[in-house]
Amino acid sequence: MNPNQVFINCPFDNNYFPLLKPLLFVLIYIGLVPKISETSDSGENRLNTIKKMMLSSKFSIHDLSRIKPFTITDLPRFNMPFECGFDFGIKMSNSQLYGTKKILILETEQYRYKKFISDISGNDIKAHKERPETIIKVVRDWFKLNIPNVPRYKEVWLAYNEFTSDFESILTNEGYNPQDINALTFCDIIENMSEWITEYI
Amino acid sequence: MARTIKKTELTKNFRAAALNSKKMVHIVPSNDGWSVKKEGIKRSYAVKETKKEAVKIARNIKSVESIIVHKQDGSVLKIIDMADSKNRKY
Repeated sequence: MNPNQVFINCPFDNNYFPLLKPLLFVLIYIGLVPKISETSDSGENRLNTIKKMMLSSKFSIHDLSRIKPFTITDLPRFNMPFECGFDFGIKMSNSQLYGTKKILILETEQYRYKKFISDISGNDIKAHKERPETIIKVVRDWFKLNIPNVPRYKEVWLAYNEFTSDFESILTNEGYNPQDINALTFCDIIENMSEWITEYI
Repeated sequence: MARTIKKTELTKNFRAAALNSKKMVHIVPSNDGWSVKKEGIKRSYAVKETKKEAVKIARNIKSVESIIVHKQDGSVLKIIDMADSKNRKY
């Protein structure tokens, strides 16, 4: 397993984008490499791709906050809990190889998960309250327990705001909508964040 | 459909943006108030209880060219252009 790699399992839509961007940013800022299934080769079976990413990542972050559909007629999506269960299965399948895997679960509120997925009680579950500043704080604080030399969350939050103004300005100048999650691929977003952070730091 | 932009061109823009020592100040909302942040400096220049106080501090920073006020999600709410003399209130 790569000790610098973090598998991310979260919703991929414009409503979640304001939380996904700071999540990617804080991981890159503290020296880690995010892995999302959208970065994979589209020719491969998605589940196999996710499995490979999970097998190679020491850390995983699963955001289960999207339990409620947006409208009454919508159905809730189960991809996130499914992939979370898959990851736990890998961890428990071979304690010698994967026992040291670390999994962080994100939710909107701290104890809401008990109503719909109580089996995960006792694991690392943090609430981001759907606030970008809070997602940076809880993720940074969790990694502080696991890796050395992690900067203060406030430093990351301030840097994120500066990055965001550059992100908006550059994309707008190129004719892209910076609020659109599909404006750039995740590979591009991660690469450009990495370049920006390298120069900033 | 958005036009395709060369990957390297975009990356160069991001790199340049991080390096550019623009005389900009960011007003960043936070759990403990409103931070005044000079571009490229990691720590806050000041932290104030209200946005109004933070903007006032930023206006008085020497040579500032723009003040960028951010929303709670980090996106830009508005940009105050200090070249416009009506924005200079000391």
